[in-house]
Amino acid sequence: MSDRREHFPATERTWLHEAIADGRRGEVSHFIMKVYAEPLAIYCAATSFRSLGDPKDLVAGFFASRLDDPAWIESWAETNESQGIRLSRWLMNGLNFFLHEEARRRQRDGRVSTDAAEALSAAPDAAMRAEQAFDRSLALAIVREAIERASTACATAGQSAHFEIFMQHHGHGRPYDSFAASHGVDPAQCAGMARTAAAKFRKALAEITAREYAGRHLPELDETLAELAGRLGA
Amino acid sequence: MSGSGETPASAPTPDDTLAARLLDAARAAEPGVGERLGAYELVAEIARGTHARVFRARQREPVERELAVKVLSASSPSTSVAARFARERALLARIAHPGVVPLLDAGESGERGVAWFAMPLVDGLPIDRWCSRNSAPRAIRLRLLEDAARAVAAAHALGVVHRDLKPSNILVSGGLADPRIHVIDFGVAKILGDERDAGGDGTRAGAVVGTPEFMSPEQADLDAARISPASDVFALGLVAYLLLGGSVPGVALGADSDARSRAPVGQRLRSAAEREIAPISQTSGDRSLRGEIEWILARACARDPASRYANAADLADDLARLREGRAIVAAPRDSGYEALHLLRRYRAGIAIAVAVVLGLVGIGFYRAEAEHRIAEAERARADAEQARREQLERVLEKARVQLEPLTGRRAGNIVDNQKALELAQTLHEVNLAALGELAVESQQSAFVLANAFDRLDRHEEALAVFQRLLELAEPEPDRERDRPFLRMNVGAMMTKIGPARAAEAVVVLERALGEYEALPTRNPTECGCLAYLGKALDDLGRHADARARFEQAIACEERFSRQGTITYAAQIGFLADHLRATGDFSAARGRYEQAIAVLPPRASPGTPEAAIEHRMIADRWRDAWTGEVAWMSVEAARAAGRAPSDEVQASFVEAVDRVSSYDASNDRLPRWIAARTAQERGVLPTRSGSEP
Repeated sequence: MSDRREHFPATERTWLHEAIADGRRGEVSHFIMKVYAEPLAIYCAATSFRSLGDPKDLVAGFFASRLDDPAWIESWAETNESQGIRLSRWLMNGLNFFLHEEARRRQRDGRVSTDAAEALSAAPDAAMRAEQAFDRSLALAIVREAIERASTACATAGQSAHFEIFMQHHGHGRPYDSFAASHGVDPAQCAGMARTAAAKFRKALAEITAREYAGRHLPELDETLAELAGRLGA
Repeated sequence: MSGSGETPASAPTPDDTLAARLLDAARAAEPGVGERLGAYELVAEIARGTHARVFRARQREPVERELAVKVLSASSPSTSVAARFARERALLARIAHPGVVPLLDAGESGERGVAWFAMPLVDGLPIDRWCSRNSAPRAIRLRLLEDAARAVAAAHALGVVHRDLKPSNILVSGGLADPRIHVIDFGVAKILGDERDAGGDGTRAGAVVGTPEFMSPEQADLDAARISPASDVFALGLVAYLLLGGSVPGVALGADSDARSRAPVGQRLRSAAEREIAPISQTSGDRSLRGEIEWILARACARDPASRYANAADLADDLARLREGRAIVAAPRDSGYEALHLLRRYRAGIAIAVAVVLGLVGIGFYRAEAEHRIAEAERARADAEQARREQLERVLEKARVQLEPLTGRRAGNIVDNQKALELAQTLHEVNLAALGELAVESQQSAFVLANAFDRLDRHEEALAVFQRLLELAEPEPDRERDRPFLRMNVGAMMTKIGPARAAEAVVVLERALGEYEALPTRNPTECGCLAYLGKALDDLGRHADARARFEQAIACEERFSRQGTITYAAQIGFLADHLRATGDFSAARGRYEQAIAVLPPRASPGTPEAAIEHRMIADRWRDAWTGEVAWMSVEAARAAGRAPSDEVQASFVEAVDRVSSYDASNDRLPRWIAARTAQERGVLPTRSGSEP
């Protein structure tokens, strides 16, 4: 205490704190499982931990062991705040710890003889490839979730056709005049409708990617979108 | 989660090509709610125009606050529109007046360089709606018009004509007791003498600029060359017609603005250019408006710009004369008004003159003197009011200049504590002057201020601020989460002041702990409360109780899974300090080493900006704890009559030098320097030797 430069923990509320304070903890877990389960399973499959079992089961076990504990996820918020660690990295690190624990436990129980932990740490190239696979899968999962949210938002606003036009033009590269008539509108109207849906799609991406951050280090969306695009193999 | 490891179902995952195309489409779309532009997160869209949108936005650092961010639409490809937007930003940066919403920050974001600027968020209503909602009496309406004219006058003084004054661009916040004017939207303003206004900036000759219903005849004629400050005066006059008489000349009563704006622009312009402005007492049927008010409005809305007030300052001055009971300049010259006004104003004096004639000299003199004093007092009051407003303007201007660094992304990294204190004081001064002590902004800035005092070891001043914040939070039922945190800070400051206030600190901190325990959701700041309590108990000599509290503090951090954070390291360091102070060097050394191991790497040129201040705090602790370990080794060697190892000596000397270089008042230093001096004076052998 004699050093007088204490650090007062921040008290600002973030999306995570708000969700927990409002009794929507389940919503946080649901979001994490929905968006991150597949990328984490792909990560797991790309490492030597895959010998521990089905990656999907391992990820499910990881979620079951961690997400019930609100302090665990809140501790991510603090780490994000102090060190800028994103949710995806936090989950990947958490999964790594979990898999190490699991490997040690099984070794101790004599159920399986594995040197998976050592193998992983001895093979940085493999670890890097696993991270790349994770990043690509996460980019796809984020786009998938955004498609779902934007589609729902358009349908709720009575703009299902807007979303279809957006997908046909921007997703599948079809010119407006090739399908405008089938929607009973002209190409100029098509462009306006696609703009409306694109705004909803962008908003969905903003919502989803913002959850990578507890609040302080949120980058501008265009930077994030460029980064996501860079992770894809296209 | 509820114990289930099932993954929720979702739609099929897109392939890379489809995902990449959709991401491209998203990058081309408009920025919107949920995004960050510069340091601001867009929270909700509050206004939308043809070329720009305005969002309510949140800034998280260095202080959390809400403001407005105006964003140029990505679908506005015209360079002239972009130029006009840039000009609005430049204008707002120049106009410094409490009645003009100022520019706080500006930037361009994303690959396409989407232009935006940030302004304070005005929680106000359009002036006509505010008056209706508050049933504002005529005197208040006139005062608001005067304030609006003063704000516009600040722009005129810089050669800027607003060109779109109307109720929705003149907002009023506050209540009847303290209404405040905010003139907004300089998006189509004209700079007098600027050649770009003659063409090429999107407001060229022939372009429709402004809102026809509130346009002067010359503006409705699209005669850009004749636009002058008098055009704004005309618009203010029409706003006055609406506020005082209930309608705008030439605009059909009851016609809603949507219906009006759907009418062809040409037709709306023609109506504006050709309308006859009848006296307000006729348009409203209110004969009480005849005389001075009617003359002022007639002057403001004269068809010929040369017959109007030359600018908004002249209009404001006449409204002030009306308010103060002085003769207005808008009165017809041949009306005998001045003579009548003098008679009315000095009728007591004239009566006295008669009294003098009648021989009532004594009483008459007394009354004349009294009237004179009242008039003097009125003038003094008006002067004082003007001086107060000017003082506020100066403070705001100073604040804007000084707070500029706070609006940038580097703001979180202020490491000059004295500078941070000056900024915090200015910010708080502005908030108090503008919003009062109870406003959330003022309480937030008070908190920042208290922390700034604390960092400079000005604990008494920090304590006073925290105590006031706690007083404000005490009666508020919805602030049960804030109270223990503020109380902890009060206790912490008492602890830092020293043993003299330790007993008081123990009482405060124990109460805070009780409040933490009663919260429905536990809060990790309670761990800090335990540590401060430990320190206060140590100061009272209750070392066993203190040790228990320090250990609870560490367990508390672990309960919140904060191992690996520097706060956790600090808690271990506090226990180590306690152990060292109570003579248990062996345990203390182990704890210091444990604490050092938890800290992140030392700050380096590669450290991300956002983490620099955090790392610097960690580095200071590292220096202190490394020094303590070395000091204990030196002391142990001295006690055994041996010299410490070269490594220990070097580590100790480095720690003393490091800490001395940035914290001359650190209370570890006297102890360390005494040990070093003893060593240098030969109390210890100087040859190398092994550590005990």
